[in-house]
Amino acid sequence: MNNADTDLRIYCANRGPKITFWVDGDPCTAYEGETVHAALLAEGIRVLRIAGKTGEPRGIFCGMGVCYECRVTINGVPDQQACMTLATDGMQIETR
Amino acid sequence: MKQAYDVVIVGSGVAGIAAANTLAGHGLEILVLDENPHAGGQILRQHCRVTDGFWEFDPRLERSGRTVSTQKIVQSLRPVRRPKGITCVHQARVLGIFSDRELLVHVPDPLCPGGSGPGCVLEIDAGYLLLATGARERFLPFKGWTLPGVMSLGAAQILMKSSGILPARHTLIAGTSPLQTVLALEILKNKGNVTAILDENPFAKKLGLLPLLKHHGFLAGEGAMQMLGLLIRKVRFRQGVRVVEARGKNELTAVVTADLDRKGNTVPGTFQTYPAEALAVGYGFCPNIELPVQAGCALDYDADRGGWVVRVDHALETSVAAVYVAGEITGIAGAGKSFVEGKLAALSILEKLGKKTGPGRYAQKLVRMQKHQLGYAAFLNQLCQVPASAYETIDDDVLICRCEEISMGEIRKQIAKGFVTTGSLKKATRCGMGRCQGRVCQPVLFDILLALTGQTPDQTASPSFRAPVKNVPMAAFLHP
Repeated sequence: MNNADTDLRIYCANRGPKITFWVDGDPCTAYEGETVHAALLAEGIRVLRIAGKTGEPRGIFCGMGVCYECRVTINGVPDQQACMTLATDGMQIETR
Repeated sequence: MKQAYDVVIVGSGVAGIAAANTLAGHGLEILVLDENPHAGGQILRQHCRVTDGFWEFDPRLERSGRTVSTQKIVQSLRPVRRPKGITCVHQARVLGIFSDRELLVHVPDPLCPGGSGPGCVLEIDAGYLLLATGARERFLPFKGWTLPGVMSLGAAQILMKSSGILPARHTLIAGTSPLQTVLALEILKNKGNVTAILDENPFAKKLGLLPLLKHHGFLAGEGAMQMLGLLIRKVRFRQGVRVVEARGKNELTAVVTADLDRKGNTVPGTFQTYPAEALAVGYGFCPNIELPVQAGCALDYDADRGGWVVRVDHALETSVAAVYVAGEITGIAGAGKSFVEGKLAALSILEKLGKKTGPGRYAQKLVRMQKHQLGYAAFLNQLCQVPASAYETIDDDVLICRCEEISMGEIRKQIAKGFVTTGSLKKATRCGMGRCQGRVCQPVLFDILLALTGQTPDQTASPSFRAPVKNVPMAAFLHP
């Protein structure tokens, strides 16, 4: 963590308390107030799902709730827009 | 939450906030709905993150001259206690608007009795309805634009503004949008790196559009200052080049560009490859007209305003009685116009309700400001437009509809068969029937149709939308 070459978190940003969420069973760290899509990106997770027909990977595209590309399963509810959901402590996320 | 409100505002961006503030203090019950976790829309999202109160604009903003710039709007926003009578609900998706302004709204769990995950759907009656649904970005599809790492210019900004996270350590920026320079400066400010800005607009085009800014010297100056800032920081800047391919196995690793000739066609043999972790790309903006269309509001096509926009009278009332609109959905012209229109629409509603709205010359002043702000639209939208040839020459293997995974080849085939209207092409190809309901591909498809058929916008026909205009789990409807 906090390797200046790879860490995407902006040094001076105002952050909430540290939280832990789970992605495909693995623990990840985020900060309260971050959206799920951003927290995933900061963890290096860019492939969020696989398109049904072509089998191509998809990730963040519009970031504002328009394109539905970043949909993941959150706390058991499928097809949630990661960019429109705030990360919370203990949240369970499944990609792909 | 009540079942009926005097005024329901959909969208709490610049226009929605300005409208709510103007409506407050008149003894009205006002509901502000927004699908985002916080208010602020796209421009103010960073500034509305951490308060459960409300916001207002410093009154000096509207006295600050004819041009209300984005910068001034951001600076004049201040948090206040939520005015009496205003209820704000976030993460609320308006799914449809029915006769007599009955709204179907999907709200998250905390507002549902005994909620268990998927939220619930409520029916809400609006005495007056004000739609301030804003805009989204436009795109010109290229090979590989679906690869993770390729994102819109706005998406890259939002990551930083909402979550304090860079899109990548090194970001490549492309397209035609004025957001290119804004994004580059924001990345640099946050200690990220901009590999290069690959501006599709040649210098001559920008120079040619300058006369459109003759009454907007302030904005021209703002743009020049941004360019200067990038020059000083030695950002690599190329003009007249188009992204033709994004490469990578599972994630983006490289971007290929081609030079453009004077007509905007790619020149063979001018390909250049850039290593890239992230590519932020955009081609201007498109109004979010799904809800007004579903509500039955008439549209007009005006490329200089961003395409299909909602038709309004001088009071910003649509063709459907008591349904008003404000901001980008009447024409893409930036935050200044949204601010003025939010106020104007609110004044119109107050007048209809027989409330005292102050001296008439105040409204007249706002109308003059609105006209002035709208003057910026032609420059903004022409700057972002690409020539018809850009759509004609999209390769057959490029995906147009990302959701349903429909390629340009399939679209060409169906257009050749005679499916040459927005509606028939959608039915023939399934383009626009996926999760985003055509929000990404419909504007592209429309421009492809204009380019390939030579038809007028009216012959090609405006898009139609049905409720629910946003995805919602069936379980939310079944909630007691």
